[in-house]
Amino acid sequence: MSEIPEGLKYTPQHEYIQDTDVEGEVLIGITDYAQGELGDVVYIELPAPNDEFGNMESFGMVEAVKTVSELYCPVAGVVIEINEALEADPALVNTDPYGEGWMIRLQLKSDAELDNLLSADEYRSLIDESD
Amino acid sequence: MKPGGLEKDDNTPSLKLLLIDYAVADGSTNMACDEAMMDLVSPGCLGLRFYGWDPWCISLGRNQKAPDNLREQSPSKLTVGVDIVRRPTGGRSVYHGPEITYAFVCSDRTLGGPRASYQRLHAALANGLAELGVHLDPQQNDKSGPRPDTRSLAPGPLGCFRDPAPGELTAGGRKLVGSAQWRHRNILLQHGSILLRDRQDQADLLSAGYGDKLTDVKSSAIGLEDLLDSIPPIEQIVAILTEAIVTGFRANREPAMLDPTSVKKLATMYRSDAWQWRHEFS
Repeated sequence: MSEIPEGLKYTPQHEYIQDTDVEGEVLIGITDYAQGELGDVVYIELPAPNDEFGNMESFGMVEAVKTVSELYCPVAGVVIEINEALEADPALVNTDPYGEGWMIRLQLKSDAELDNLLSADEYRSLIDESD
Repeated sequence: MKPGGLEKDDNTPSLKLLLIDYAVADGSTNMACDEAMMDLVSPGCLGLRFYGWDPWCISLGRNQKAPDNLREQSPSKLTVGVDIVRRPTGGRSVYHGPEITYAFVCSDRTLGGPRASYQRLHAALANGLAELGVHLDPQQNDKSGPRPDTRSLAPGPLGCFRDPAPGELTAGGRKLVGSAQWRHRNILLQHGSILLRDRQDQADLLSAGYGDKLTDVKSSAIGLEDLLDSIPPIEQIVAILTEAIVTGFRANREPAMLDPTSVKKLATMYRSDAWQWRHEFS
């Protein structure tokens, strides 16, 4: 059973958005369900700080043993920080997707875009439909 | 998710399977055709083609690092006229010689996600190979146990066929079909090599630039020539495998063609140094 924490926002493409202590800044990564589907993550390509992305624009790529999958920015914004630990240990995405496996910290362009994302319950329903 | 099964409810709407004719082309054109196929499909629609390689070709995984000296040295070490291309999919190097290659595309969720798609397509291919008389190893689709550790299968120097990954089609523990996927804009591409003869040692020559001691590594690939009295004609193999996929997905087949302009444009990209050597290191 995949972990789907309450209080986070989700996308149908299996990214999550997590609030931070700084207003207007969020952490983005892939969900527990997504890492389980992919299998062992062996390589991650992330953007550089200050790169800017539009809604659903590809911001990077994750490679598991058999699958290369694009990463899509669920909301428009500017990259404040990337998780550099993933370069040395991409498996953090598998072992702690909502913690040490976060991918980018994003400065939102507009909080309003968050309203278009899925709640934990809505994301759970989506997963259940797939299964 | 339905664990790799092919069972469908009677109410499940029929899938449409777009079939592209078998063709033989160089590496860049083949990768361009595979990517161009992704533009053809929509939810409820699948795409399939089988193809060959001329000249024979080594393909690198999308994120696989190629040795520095590959450009200068590989042609002299490999069979004369061997091509090199980088795939859009992940994984490791493959030597595309005596083989039949397949490419399969579908909308992201049509078959239930990357893992289910992988298992379902392999199940269909396995049925086709059984029809040809190939005895494959049983598939391990039980997800209840601990997930096997596959981190050693990262895109390193050794070839794709060196180590079977979970769910791959093997015979006698040796890999017969090597496959990889790319998810892009909600479309999934899976392509793979069905070996007629095992020549994967050629792919491992790539490792020369890494200083690896390949003599310690035993081949884990196998070809149809090792499993059948004789290799059937390619058109017969393609027909049987196509039928197995049509049946496996209960799909309605429909001939289709790729957009030549799109293929040409993509082939130029796949041929470019910027793509080919994107992970070259010094």
